[in-house]
Amino acid sequence: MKPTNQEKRGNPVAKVTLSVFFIVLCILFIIPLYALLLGTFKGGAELFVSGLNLNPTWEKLHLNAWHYLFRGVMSNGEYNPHDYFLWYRNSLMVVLVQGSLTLLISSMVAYGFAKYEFKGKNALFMCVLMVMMVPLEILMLPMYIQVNSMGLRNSYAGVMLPFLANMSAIFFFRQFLTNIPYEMIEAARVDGCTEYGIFGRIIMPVMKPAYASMAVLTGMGAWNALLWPMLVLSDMKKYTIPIGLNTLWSPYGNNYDLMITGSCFAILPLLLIYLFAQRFIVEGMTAGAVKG
Amino acid sequence: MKKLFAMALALCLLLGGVVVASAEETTTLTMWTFIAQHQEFFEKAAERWNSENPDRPIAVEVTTIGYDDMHNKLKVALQADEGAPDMCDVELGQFPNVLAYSDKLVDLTDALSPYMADLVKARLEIYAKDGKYYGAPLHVGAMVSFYDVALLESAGVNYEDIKTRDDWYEAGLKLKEADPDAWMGTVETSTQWVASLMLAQQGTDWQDGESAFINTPEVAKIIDTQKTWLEAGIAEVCPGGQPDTEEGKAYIANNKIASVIMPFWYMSRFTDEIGESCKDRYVVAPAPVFEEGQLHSIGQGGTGTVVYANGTDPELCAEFLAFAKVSPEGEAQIWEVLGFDPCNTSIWDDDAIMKTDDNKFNQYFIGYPIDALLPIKDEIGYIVSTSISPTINNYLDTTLWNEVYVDGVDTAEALENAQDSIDSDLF
Amino acid sequence: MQANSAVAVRAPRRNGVILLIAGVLLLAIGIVGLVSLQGKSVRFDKAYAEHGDLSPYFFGQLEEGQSYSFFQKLWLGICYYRLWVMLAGVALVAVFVALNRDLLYSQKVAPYVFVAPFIITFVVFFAYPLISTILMSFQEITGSGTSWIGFKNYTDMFSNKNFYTAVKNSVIYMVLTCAILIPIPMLLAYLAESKLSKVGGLFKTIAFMPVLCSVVVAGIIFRMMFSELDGALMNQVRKLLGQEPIIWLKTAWGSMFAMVLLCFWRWTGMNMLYYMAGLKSISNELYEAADIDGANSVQKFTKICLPLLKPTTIYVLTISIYAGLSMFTESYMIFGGNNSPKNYGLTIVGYLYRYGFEKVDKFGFASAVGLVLMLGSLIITIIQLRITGVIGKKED
Repeated sequence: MKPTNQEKRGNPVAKVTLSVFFIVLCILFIIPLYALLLGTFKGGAELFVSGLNLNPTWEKLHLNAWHYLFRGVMSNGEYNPHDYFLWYRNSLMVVLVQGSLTLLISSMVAYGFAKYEFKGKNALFMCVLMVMMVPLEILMLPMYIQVNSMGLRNSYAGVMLPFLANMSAIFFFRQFLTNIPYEMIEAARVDGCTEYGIFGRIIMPVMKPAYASMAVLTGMGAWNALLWPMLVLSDMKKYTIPIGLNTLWSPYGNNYDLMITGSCFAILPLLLIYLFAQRFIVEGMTAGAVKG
Repeated sequence: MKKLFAMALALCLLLGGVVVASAEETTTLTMWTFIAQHQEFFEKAAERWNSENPDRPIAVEVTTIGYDDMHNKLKVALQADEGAPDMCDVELGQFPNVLAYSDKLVDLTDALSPYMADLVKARLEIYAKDGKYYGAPLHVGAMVSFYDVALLESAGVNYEDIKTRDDWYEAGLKLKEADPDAWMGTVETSTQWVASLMLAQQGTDWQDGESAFINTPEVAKIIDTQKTWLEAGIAEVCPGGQPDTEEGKAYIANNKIASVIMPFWYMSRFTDEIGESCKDRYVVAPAPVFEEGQLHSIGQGGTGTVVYANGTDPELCAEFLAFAKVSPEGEAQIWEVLGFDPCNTSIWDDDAIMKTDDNKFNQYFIGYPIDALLPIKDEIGYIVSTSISPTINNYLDTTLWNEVYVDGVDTAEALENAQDSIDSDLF
Repeated sequence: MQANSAVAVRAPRRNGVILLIAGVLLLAIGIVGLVSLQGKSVRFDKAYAEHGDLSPYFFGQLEEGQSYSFFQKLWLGICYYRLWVMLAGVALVAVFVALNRDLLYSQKVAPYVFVAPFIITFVVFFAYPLISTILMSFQEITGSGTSWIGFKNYTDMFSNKNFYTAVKNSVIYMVLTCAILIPIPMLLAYLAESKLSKVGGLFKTIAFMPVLCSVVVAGIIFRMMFSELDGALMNQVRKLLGQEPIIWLKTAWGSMFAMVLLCFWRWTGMNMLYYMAGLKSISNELYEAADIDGANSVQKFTKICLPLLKPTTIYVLTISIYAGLSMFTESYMIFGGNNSPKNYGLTIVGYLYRYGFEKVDKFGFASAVGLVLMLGSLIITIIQLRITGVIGKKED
């Protein structure tokens, strides 16, 4: 598929070809999600017998799995609750707290790196780059021991603390901040703003688009994190969604209904945020992203 | 600036935060399992405990975690000696890994001793190290055959005549003739329930704790036997790799499989998951042997519950486990609720427990399932499980069986590769 | 150092430097106490609360009933009250800062305050674990203790077949994802941004939806799509093409295909976003000039976009290399665990995970694997940055 070979915009043939091309792509990209959504109406047991596919046997579709998600399963005349929405709440809480703290702390650090000259700056920044390059899995065990010895096992603080100064966010914010002229900061200093006042009153407002794009990225990271929270959290009531969902996939329990509807439902909050913030994300990326 | 202070203080509080346990009258014990049904079982057991020991009330907080995740977390917690639950279900295959930390586990020998005489020793040995028992057993998991009586009768075969694998093979040929769509059985590619039984019947094992014995005539015999089934068209590679998977259960539900050779606990898969389509069709019987006089069964699968030595009240945990899992009352519950073959054989011939007609297993199968076990009570062997088992099992499950049964690799060649690979992994 | 630099700038009043020194000292003692409690704190606290006697937990080698020297007792006390010691340190520093407010606000000190969270995170959660990883890679760590074994972990690793399988899988995966996930999103971003078709905008939104799916959810979907059932989506596709259904995840190419497809599905939207950001920063005048010169779309793409998108491409390539080499969760989810048929899905991190978390007594070995992975990805990244000409130039 080549792009149009006409230079004038609005060539009808090119337009139609391109539209068709994109429609096909849209369909291809949506298929897995559609299959999952359709699967939730077939029920977990059925999926494992006949497979996840796009054949809707309309008369066989039902809402049982969704009913289970929202009401729990009926046994002995009462609904047995499950922990899904507890996990959901936990995940939302982690995303909210970790996301906002990460934005605040990482932008502070980035500001320090971008707009000040100080001893050891380059060495420290090399450290940032180095941390970005090291897979978390390598450090997980000593990190776990560390978190344990701080008494943070099975606590959200243990889940979040190591990632509040998020290296890629620092990197990104620093890129963004290098584009902000020093004059702005100097002017604020002349006006009697303190160093921290400058950050709070001048820099933070300017960084809104950068915050928007990083909010989505860090939020995504926190919402979807699996390995580290799985190690730190050991109380089922404290699980986040990915750990909970992963637990449901077990040959020993019949929890597939909850697993598929839960998976489906877990995409929702991020999707809403994304649809809402889409514009800012690209804007922030454009202003902050990679300039080499 | 005040904000900064507040943040710094908060950070320090977080850093130094110490968990302070508050003393309560009811002792709260934490427990991990990877099987959701066990949660209910232990919670009920705690209720019974409380009604019998009102002076020492307990509350068991059970957390269900995924299979891989739970065992990995437990090992990490034991290694760090922090964060382990007071009690934990450990799957048989993973037990040796956990036993490596036996100094952090409680020796349950004393707690189990009142019932020791009645327990199936083969099962306990798996959870032992240096003569001390670290795991409270849940069931025997004796290998048995589930025969589809209706299907076999349609081909003129009486299941009671099937004693040896040759009988089984002949029955398969007859069945195939009568119904070309039917299968006598399945061949496993992602586990070794049947292969381990066949190995034990030949009086040998996969390993001795030091080295693996894969490239042996006994293993070759297992493979060649099953290959002949595949070639004769009487068996098929099991969908999902083994009967205890969603695909496998769906396959059995089609009523085209005349025999399923699985541990006794597979009964609950029939009643709970395979469901109506197989009701009143299957009978539980002893599994076939190569030659008369060989072991009829081995105990497979299952979990041993361990107690963390540095947890809350380890003695209480040990006592509770013995009460819940191996006392005759506990074992009766295991049979009632979970449908497992109890380790405590003192209740096996207690018809009031094992042969009640309102029991869902007795209702589901033809006859009484326990009758399959009574005659082979003393012929239940075991396959050793050591710290090198996971490495061996991993290779067999992911590679060897696929090579020989699916890809059609020559037996000798595949076994040679297997031995090489496993040896190079055991360092 | 902080005090010194402050002197240099404004020569402020230095009230109560002694407070600062004492505070920092207390903090340091508290931290040492904390670190020395490595892996013991809960038991330690419990023992102290129950018995008021810490001997077995600290000086296990000492005889029962042996008395402690004053310093040993002092140290035990500090360890137990580490939290309060640190708090006292913080309080002293706070008082010092309150007495010298101008110092805190000086331009010399401010950057350190700003980057302090990073320094703390780096030391506590990175430098310390990294150093202990390096040390562990030369040790054998068993349930009962540790011993130094030199390079044995490394020699074991290089003589292990599965290690090479893991490296091979990871490298193939990395190369494939780089080869697919750079040109395609770039082209798609260009087409979507060209405003020629309104559907392009819709596609941007739809392509980003998988990005929002967690690996767990995506893995659940793909595992079911690639299941061996005849009715599973990928087997239905094969049927449509007139082929027999196969057991995808039991073939080498099928497994790799599933993992790469999952990655493609999840990351196309993200990489498109990077490229769209890159495209937006190319000024319109360039296109207009090209229009005047009579360049067609293809020429505009190759002559303007490609070279100007180079920084974006380098960035995306860098993160793709790193992400490709350290892929693990995708395979873990698709194969429902770390064990895949014939190790088709085994990656380097999966290999590390197997020895670090699934087997016992192999932490040292796993540490060695991790370090080799880290070195490998550093070397490849450096080579790549060399070739693309980033290294050598000053940043900004």
